Amino acid sequence: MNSLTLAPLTLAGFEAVPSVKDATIELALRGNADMTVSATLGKYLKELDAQTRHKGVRAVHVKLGDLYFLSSSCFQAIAAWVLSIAGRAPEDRYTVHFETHAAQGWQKRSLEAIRRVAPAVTVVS
Amino acid sequence: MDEFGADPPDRDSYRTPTLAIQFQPHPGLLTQTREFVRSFCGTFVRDPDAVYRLTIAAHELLENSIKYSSDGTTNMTIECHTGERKSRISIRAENRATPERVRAVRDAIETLRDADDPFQLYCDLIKASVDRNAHSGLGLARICVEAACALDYRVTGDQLAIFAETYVDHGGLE
Repeated sequence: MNSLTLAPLTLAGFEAVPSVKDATIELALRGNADMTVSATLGKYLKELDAQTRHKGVRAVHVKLGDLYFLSSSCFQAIAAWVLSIAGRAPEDRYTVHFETHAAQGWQKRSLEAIRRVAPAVTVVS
Repeated sequence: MDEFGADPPDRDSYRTPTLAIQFQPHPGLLTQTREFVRSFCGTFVRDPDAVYRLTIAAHELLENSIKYSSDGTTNMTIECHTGERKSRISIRAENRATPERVRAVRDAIETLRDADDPFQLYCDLIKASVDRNAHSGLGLARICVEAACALDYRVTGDQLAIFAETYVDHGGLE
C-alpha cells in the first residue's frame, strides 16, 4: 500500500497522526480534543475517509492511548465519520477500530454510544 | 441528611467545599478551566472515573455557555456535600440566555428526564446531530448519560441556571 498523502494534524493541545501499517491505516489521536478542534477534526476525518476509500483499505485503527479528553463537538465529528461509513453499501465500507487505553476508563463509555449507532463498522477494544 | 448520609447544602457549610468561578467564556480557556475543576474534584473524590464524570459535566456546561450566553459571562459553582457513605456533587452554571435558548434547554432536560431509556435517546440524538454543521447539541445528553448526572434548570428573568448533580463514593474528606 502506498503511504498516505494526508499530513498529521497539529493544533494547540491536540494532534492526529495517521500512518499506514500492513493493510490498515492507523490514526493516533493525542491530547485534548476541545471545541476549538472540532471543525478542523471533522474536515480532517473527511479527508482521511476519502483516502481510505481510494486505497481500498478495509480497516482504520484509531489509537486513543494519549487522548485525555473528548468534547461533545469532537465526539460529534467522530460520530459523523463513522455514521457516514455505516450508511454506505457493505462493499464500500471499512471498519473503524477504536483502541482505548485502560487507564482512560471514560473512553470505552464514550465510544459505546458510537458502537451502538454504527455496530456494523465499529469495534471498541 | 439524605438517603446516602450527605448533608444538605445549607448545613454544616464547613463540610461543603465549594468552588465558584465567574467565567468570561473563551474557547482557549476551556482546557485550563477544566483542569482546575478536575483538580478541585480530585481533592475530594478518590475514584478517577468519578472525577472524569464530573469533569465532563463541568466542561459541557462551560462549552454550552460559550455558545449560548447572551452577554459572555457565566457563573459556575461546584459544591461537594460530603456524607458518611457517599458525597453529593452539585454543579451549577448560570448565565443570561435568550428565550429561544431557555426553551431549548427546558425541552432538552425534560425530554431526558422523561426518557425511559436515556442511553437510547442519546444514541438517537447522535444520529440526528450528524447533519448539523454547527453545534452538536449533545452536551446535556452527555452530562445525563456519560456523566450520570441528574439535570435540572431554573429560569429567573433572563437568567438561566442549569444544575447537574451526582453521587460518588465517599472521597474520604476529613
